[in-house]
Amino acid sequence: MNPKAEGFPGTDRVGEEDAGDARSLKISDDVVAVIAGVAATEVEGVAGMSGGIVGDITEILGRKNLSKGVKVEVGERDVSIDLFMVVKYGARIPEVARQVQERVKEAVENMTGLNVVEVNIHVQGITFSQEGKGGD
Amino acid sequence: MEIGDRVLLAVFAGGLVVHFGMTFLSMVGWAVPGKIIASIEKSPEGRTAISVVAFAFLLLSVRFFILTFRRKYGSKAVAHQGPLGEVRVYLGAIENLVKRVCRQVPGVREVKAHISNVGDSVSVFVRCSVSPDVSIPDLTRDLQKTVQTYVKNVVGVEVNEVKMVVENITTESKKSRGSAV
Repeated sequence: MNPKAEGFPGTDRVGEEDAGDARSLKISDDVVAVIAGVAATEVEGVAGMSGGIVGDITEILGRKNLSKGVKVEVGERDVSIDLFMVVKYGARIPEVARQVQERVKEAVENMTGLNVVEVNIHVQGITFSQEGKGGD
Repeated sequence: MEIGDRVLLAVFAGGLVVHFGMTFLSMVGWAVPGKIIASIEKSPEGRTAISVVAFAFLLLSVRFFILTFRRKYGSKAVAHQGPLGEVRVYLGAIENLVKRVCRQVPGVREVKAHISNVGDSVSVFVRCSVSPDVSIPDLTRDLQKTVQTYVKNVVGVEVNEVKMVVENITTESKKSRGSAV
């Protein structure tokens, strides 16, 4: 397993499926979302993820939500990922988006063995300060 | 905030003023509000009317609560397809970017921007206030060039046109408004 995997919370939710083939492995959507979310925020130029009302309330309540702003659709072997994010002012969006797509695809494929068919990027805002994450 | 929400907010605030005003006056000894409420409570029609108004205010409260969490950017976006997936940049984000870029140009005081997308490209409409000591034709030409170049480089989309309206000539920025020339 990729050494990075030890740092990801939620990876213990990966478990074997009881029904059907005893060797089949079902990976939870949440696990893929956390891997993608952490990989995306590591890219230079990404200020943070944009999670909507539920994500905001969760963070106000003090819970760190690593899958915030990530929507995944996991199939048998394929996974499609949508990332909703806020980009730092000055960063070139096409370049940041390409790096995020590559980093997320690599992280998810290495850690889960799933085939990432697409990583769609939704840039919802631009932040102008180091600490701000919600746009202007 | 949309104009409809502004009207609702005005109604909501007006209702709260009346409600708490009456409550305050009752608490300091004015008996009339209490008598009015007592007479309304006696009739079924009065109770129904009060229930309807209370329910409407409850709905308005929920609406404004949700509005406080709603994102400023809308749902419209400009998209381009890459080899690993689609990249969508929301027009609200581009709008904030344009405002920021315009404010950095010397001579520009206040800026409002509106972005509309036409296929894979965008049109930018900027309304601004400028200092009295600048040449407006030169400034607007610089602004158009700057916005076009910046949006192209940073967002990666073509800019069809940059329309500009100089609304005012002012010596003050928005924070200390008051002395328009």
